[in-house]
Amino acid sequence: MLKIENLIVEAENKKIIDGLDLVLPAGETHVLMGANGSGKTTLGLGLMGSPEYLVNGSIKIDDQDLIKASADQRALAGLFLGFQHPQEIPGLNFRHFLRTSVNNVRRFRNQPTYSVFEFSKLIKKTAVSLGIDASMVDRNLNQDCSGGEKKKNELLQLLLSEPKFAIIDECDSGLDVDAIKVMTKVLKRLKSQGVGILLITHYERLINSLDIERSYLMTQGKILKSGHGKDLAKATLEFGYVS
Amino acid sequence: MSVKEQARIVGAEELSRLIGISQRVVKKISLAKGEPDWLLRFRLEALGFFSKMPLPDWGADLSRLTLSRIVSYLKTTPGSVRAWDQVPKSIRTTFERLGVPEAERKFLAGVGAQFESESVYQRLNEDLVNQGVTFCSLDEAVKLYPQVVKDYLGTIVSSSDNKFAALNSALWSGGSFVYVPDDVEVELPVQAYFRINSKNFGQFERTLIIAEPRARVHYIEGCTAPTYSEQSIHAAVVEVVAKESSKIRYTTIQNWSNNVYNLVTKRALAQKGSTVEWIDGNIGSMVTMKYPCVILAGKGARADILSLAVAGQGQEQDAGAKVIHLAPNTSANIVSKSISRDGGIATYRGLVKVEKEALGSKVSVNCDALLLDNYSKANTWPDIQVKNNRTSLAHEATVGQIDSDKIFYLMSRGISEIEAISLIVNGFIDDFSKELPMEYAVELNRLIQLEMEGSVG
Repeated sequence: MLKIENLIVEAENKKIIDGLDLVLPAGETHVLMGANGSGKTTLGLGLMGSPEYLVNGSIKIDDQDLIKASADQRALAGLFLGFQHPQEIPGLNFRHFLRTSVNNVRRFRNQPTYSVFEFSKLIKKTAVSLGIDASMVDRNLNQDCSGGEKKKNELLQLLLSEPKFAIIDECDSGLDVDAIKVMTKVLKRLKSQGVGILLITHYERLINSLDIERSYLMTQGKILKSGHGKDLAKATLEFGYVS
Repeated sequence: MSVKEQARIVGAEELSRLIGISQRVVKKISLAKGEPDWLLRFRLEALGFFSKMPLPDWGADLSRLTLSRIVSYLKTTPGSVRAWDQVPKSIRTTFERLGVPEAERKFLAGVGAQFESESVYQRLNEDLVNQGVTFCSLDEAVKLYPQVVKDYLGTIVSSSDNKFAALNSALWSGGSFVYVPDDVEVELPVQAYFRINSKNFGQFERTLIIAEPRARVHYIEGCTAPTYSEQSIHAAVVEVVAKESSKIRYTTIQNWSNNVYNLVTKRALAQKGSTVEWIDGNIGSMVTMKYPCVILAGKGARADILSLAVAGQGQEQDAGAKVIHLAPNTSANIVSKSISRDGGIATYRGLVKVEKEALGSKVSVNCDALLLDNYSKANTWPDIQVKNNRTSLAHEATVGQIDSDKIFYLMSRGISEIEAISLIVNGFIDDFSKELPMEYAVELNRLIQLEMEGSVG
């Protein structure tokens, strides 16, 4: 279970998240919506441990509090953030990067690490199963990639990192139809593996195609409304962010 | 060991060590090597230039350089051999630790190893020998091919070019001679390894590479030394002749210890349709001044100069590139990457000159500098002079620190801060490392990682 209590996220003495509580059980998918500037992206970054923000409160995975942990420690503990705008790292081979990342997580969990050969096979197989062009993994991390390609890179990372809880930030990232299909596949697969997902989105197609246990409406750094299933999300899509 | 052999070794030891820079020292070196008269005259003339020329007043700080008590010649073995088991054990162990014999077994066509002033090992694959390829020390070449050496020595880098070229011309010992006949393609690289092991020593190796028409060769040079508090100097001269439609690649991975002044003159003459590539990596040394040069003398000749400089604590890397376009349709592509940390200074100093006659030439210069902290320095001094209006020119330069968003992104994937920085830095130099043979690229990445671990956290 991912349990967030009284979360406060500040930047330049301004509270962007102001006392947020949220509980995400393993294997559930929750949707978070909110108007621009309501703090959705900051929530993701704050939860992941971005050094840009001052964060207080508690963020617990199965009773382990991560509030003081660095970003890499949070990742090792099982937290994953799917970035709205993933970084480009020139010259860093995607496959090499991802093997480093995945092996770090596996080592932390006392699982056997992948050899270069094993990982190459795994990554190609995974890419093919999602309908992602397997030659992507030979490129440099997000370098010269289109928005859709970056998104697919994020999804490959998400799947292969085997997180316990994933926060997926898609507020205004311009997902194309193809990327939405891949994302639906990945999120369904993760759910079946017991991964808890907090999906920040306003894509109706995505919401319609997923089983969603809970929806939230966020405003001014707080959860204003929440409800079972996807009714609240669908109502928000239909009527806008009315309070 | 026979009495005669013992006497030979004792004899060699008597001539084994010379101190200072003087006519007496120059004469002794030349005599001990049994050189022809013209070469002694060449050396003495160069010594005259050296005495008259001032230290360069531009570039790196040389104010603490002292040459008067330097060991200017040091011979530790009776001669160069063709099998590692004949190399004296202590020296062999040094090269084994550096992985030289192993690299030779795996992927090199030939290897030369120089310890202090003299070559201790030299070997080239049999089939290349049979095709007429020569790879030996330049001293040996003086004995075997005196006319070739006489024809080329000092023609690309004259003894009066600069103070350190003059010093090298006067005191040179060892270095490589590579000759590739017409149409012969040397597929695997040949490598020379230069090692300084003594304190307060001056290594003045001199290299001459000649590729006849349509020949191809890749020469790799590695250099290391242990660290002492006293300074040493490595003042090499490299002359490269690329004849019509030939291709020469010269790769350097310089990892001298931080007490070495590395003051090197490297220049190539590129004839019609030929390509010369300098791949020049400077990781070590206290001070480096080195600007590999290509003179594009023939129509359609091409120069690629790719350099990497890593400047850490107490280091000054003043490196760059120089290209002179003399003929039409010649092209130059210069890529320079530098990393400064812990107060290190990295400078790109480049000169591109396109003469009036060099119509239709292309020039591209890219300099990227990465600063890892606020108290290190990166300088870029690109000088581009174009004397005709039919040359295409592209120039880009960037200086910056590692973006903290990139570090956070990698950390969010379970990668530690140090590992993240090292991945980003290795990505930054990827344009350079991907041009190295795989084994060297891996070694370079490891080196960079160690350097980063030393500087972060």
